[in-house]
Amino acid sequence: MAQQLPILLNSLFRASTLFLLGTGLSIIYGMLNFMNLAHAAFLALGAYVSASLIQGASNAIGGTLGTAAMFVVFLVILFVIVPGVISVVGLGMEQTIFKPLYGLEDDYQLLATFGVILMMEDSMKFIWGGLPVTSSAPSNMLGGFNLVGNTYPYWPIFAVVVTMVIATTLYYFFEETRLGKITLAMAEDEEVVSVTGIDTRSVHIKVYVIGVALAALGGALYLPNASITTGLSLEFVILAFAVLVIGGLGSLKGAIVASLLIGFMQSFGSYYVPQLSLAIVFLLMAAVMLIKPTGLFGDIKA
Amino acid sequence: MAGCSNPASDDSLGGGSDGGGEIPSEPLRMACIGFTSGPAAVFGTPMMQAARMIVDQINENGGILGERNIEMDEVDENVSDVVQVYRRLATQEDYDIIIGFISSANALSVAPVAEELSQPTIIWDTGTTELFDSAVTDPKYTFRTSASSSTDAVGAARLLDNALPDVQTVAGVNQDYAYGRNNWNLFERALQSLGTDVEIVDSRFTPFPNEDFSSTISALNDVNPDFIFSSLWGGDLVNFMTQANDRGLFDDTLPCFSGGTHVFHDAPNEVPDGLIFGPRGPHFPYGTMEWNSLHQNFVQNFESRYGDTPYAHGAWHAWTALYGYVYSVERAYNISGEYPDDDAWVKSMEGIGFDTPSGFANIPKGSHNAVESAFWGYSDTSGENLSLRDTVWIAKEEVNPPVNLTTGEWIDNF
Repeated sequence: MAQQLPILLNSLFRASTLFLLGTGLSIIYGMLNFMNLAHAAFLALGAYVSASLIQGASNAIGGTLGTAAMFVVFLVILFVIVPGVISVVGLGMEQTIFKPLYGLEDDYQLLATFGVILMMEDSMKFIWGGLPVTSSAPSNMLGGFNLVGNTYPYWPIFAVVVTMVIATTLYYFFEETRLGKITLAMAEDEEVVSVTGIDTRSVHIKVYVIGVALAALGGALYLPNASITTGLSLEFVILAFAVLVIGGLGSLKGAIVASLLIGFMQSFGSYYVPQLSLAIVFLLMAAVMLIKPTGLFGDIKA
Repeated sequence: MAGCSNPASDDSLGGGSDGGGEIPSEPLRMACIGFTSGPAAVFGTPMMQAARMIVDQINENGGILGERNIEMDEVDENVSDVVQVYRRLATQEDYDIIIGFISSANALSVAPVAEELSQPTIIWDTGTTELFDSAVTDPKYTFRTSASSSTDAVGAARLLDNALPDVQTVAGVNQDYAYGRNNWNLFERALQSLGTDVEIVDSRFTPFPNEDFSSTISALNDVNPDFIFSSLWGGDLVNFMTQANDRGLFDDTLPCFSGGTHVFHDAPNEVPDGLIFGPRGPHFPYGTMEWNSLHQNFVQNFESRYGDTPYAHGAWHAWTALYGYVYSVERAYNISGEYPDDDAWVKSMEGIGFDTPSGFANIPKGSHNAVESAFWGYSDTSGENLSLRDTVWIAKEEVNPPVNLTTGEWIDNF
């Protein structure tokens, strides 16, 4: 059993990234009824911007600060600056590209936002080039510990803890705050909410920005563990939709459970049956759809 | 034989047009195909840069035989139907020579079409041994000017057999497509045939591309091999290395990356000291490789033109393909006195040998496949540039099949 511990942690880390990506997509769809394929590009963009900022900060002030102070600088970059910057980019795109798509049928939204993801991919390639970009400095600073005879890095565990805090906060947000309750109500029936005098457009924007910031944070937390290359958005968009389909549209609980399921299936799958590691997510999706076509928590909104 | 010189040599570039016959006045039309987008752009971009630079250099010296300019067009290999593109280039656009292909699948699909259309074609990078072992067993118009995967995989097996006697357990990590499977298969067969006293404890094939290697690394940590053979490249290699570093895989396991030196340039901070790297043939810009003026000139010219070093083997493969072609034309002309038609060019390519920045390259008589030495070294992080130390060369006869045998037949009968 002890041998399975690293795989268990790998699964949870994988699930964290998928949760941050899938939740944003899910709440945006649940509330705005907007199917945004380009959402995964915010994850890739978050990762690229993080890499540039971390490398820039390391070059500019790397020698002048101690390890602890530098780590704090990295955390500010990853948790504040990157989600902030990407939210602004996302907001700009919402105002110009996405807003006109809101009234359209799902298929048109899918087609248009697929075009957007391709353009975003090419823009990222234009800016950062086709070569892999890495910045493992934050992860290296944390180091690792001995787990069943091998080193295991602290970073994935740190990312899992951060994601758990975010998930709890989101749950609190939807259950306890006014904005959260309005959001839920809008997901049920937007017209009723709007006649009460609430500015639903402003709620839209706030929830959309939260979704984009979560995806960017997903990219920022994922980055120190891997390299960023072109095509990352396209790879993650499939997983984001798997979260949506398995968990159920617009369900926070569904996003958590689906992320965990996919994370576990992928990590244990590539450990035990690596030949099936690509197919395994689709098999899971097919199984869920056969049993419950609306997804595991599809009938519960956010 | 007057003027029968190697066009790659410093003193004869573009010269030696003393064969006497008429040289076509219109420019030579050359198409160069490689991935300039997508994951394989790590090889394709420097490859195309090198090709462009070499064509400009040849033209500045007057062109082929000092008289015929080359008109080169670049084509991105990252298209949905490469055979269709190739057919168009060969039939409608009438290129004199088509040089290209990084992907094994693309080279395997195109080579039979090249033969069908009698279109002179040079495969400049693709490693698969199936190219001439099974896809085109009796080639006429298709040549390959770079080392095949046999060089890397058999080279790694020989390195293990000859130089690493303490290794008892071996594992593999390769991408789950033709190139990765081909490399592992050759490596495993070579070890068996050599009778190397090691046990293969695991062979993992990972999706391509793949960003999460954590469970693969956990599985390797569980079996704890002494040695890992891997043909991973590009972002996959960077991801694998980053995540393996974090998980202590290399603490007591020595990995051998057969085509990975390009990460010295792409992700230098992720490369630890003391891992074994091969540059997919003997192509590397620094360290003990700087043995001849061609090497120095190539690196310096590339650096001064692009502000970057030709780290990826693609750049070196472009050099060999383009000068190999020019040399074969000049050689035919200088010997016969006639500018070669396609058939005369084929005869000139068969059995050709010439100096390159990476040593002497040759296509043995009876083969259409260039042979190169295998070259390995330990990653060295002590200098300004990441380099290779304690380098090992393995003679080309030791890592390439003789002309009358397929790679598999040769390996099974060491």
